Amino acid sequence: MVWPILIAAAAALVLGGAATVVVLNWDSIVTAWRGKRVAVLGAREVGKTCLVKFLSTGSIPENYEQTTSAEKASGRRFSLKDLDLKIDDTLDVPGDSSHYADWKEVADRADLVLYLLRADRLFAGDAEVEERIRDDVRHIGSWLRARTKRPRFFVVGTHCDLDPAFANLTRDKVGDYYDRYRKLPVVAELVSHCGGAKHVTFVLGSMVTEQVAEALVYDIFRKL
Amino acid sequence: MPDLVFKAQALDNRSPDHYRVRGEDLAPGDATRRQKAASLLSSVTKAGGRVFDQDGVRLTVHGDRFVVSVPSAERDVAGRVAPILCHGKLGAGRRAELGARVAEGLDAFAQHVGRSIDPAKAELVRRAMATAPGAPPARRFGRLLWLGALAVALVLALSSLWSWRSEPTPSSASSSDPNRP
Repeated sequence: MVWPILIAAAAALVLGGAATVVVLNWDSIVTAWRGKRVAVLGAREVGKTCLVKFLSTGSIPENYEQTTSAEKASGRRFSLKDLDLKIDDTLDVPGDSSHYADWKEVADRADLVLYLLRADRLFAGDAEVEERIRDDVRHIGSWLRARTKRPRFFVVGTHCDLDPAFANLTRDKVGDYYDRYRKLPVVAELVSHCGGAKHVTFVLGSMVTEQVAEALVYDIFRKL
Repeated sequence: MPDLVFKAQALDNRSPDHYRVRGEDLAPGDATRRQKAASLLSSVTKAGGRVFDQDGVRLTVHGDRFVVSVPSAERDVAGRVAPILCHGKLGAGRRAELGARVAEGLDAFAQHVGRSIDPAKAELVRRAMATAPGAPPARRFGRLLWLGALAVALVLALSSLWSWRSEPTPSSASSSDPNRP
């Protein structure tokens, strides 16, 4: 008479344990099943479409076109060196500030928000670019703060190949280059708006060829 | 062009985008109406289906609304193709007339913002609009149709139930027989 009770108790314990594990890891399980939801945001001509196309197809566009309206981009599963990545469907959004509603829509459902900016123009001290970044991060910061579970937030500096200092960078000087970038006043403001240094990850690179685009994407997901 | 919305991104990628809503050009500071127009365009392109795609001319349809995109002859400062967009309702009118209105509207808007559209592309816009599917029945009409079908089914069910109940059963027939001893 004791055995059935013991078996039932053991089964209840195992089921209870399994249920607890599922509940505690629910978000990871859902993300693993449907893929990571990635929001690619940024002003015009920063490389959003190029990055979305790479995530969606593994290649960069042959012919570039202004993104004038939000477009669907399908997800996929792919391997990048030692990483096995699964990306969910997303939107390729236009860079003009009149499309902030599209930005918010894609950011609100994202596990990972990538904010792209022209690092070459920031280093060159382009005031218009700085002003636009300030406007963008005011909005993005408020959307991130409103989320109950904060998504990972990356600031991706693009077009670094156009900066001669980056082009001639040796491996031992990469850290110095990142430090110089982080110390730019607008970048410091960006970090402050988006929850402080522990909530912001920096990646610098370019998407001028498929190989360098792949290196940039690898760098992003390696830091996740 | 009372019901059409046009959009073109600035070629310098810095100036505000150009919007024309129902014949009126939106001022750069009119953020609310610009965002509304942008959302209108995006609501079609992100949820709709592509029904025409040839030589850069694309037609996307979602419900009874469409967005047609045509590349202008000019490129932006980065050398990218710079399309001009038009949003409108398909409606019940003739597609050829709608296509002509859209093509003319796109041409006028392009000229207004200092751009041009190749005549061959304008012709493709007309062809694209001619292939647009018919506007789906209005949602209210659809609901009425469902309600009507439900009412008919209910009436049929009730009448068959009534006739089944009112049919005399053998036992009730025998009990009401006045000649029964």
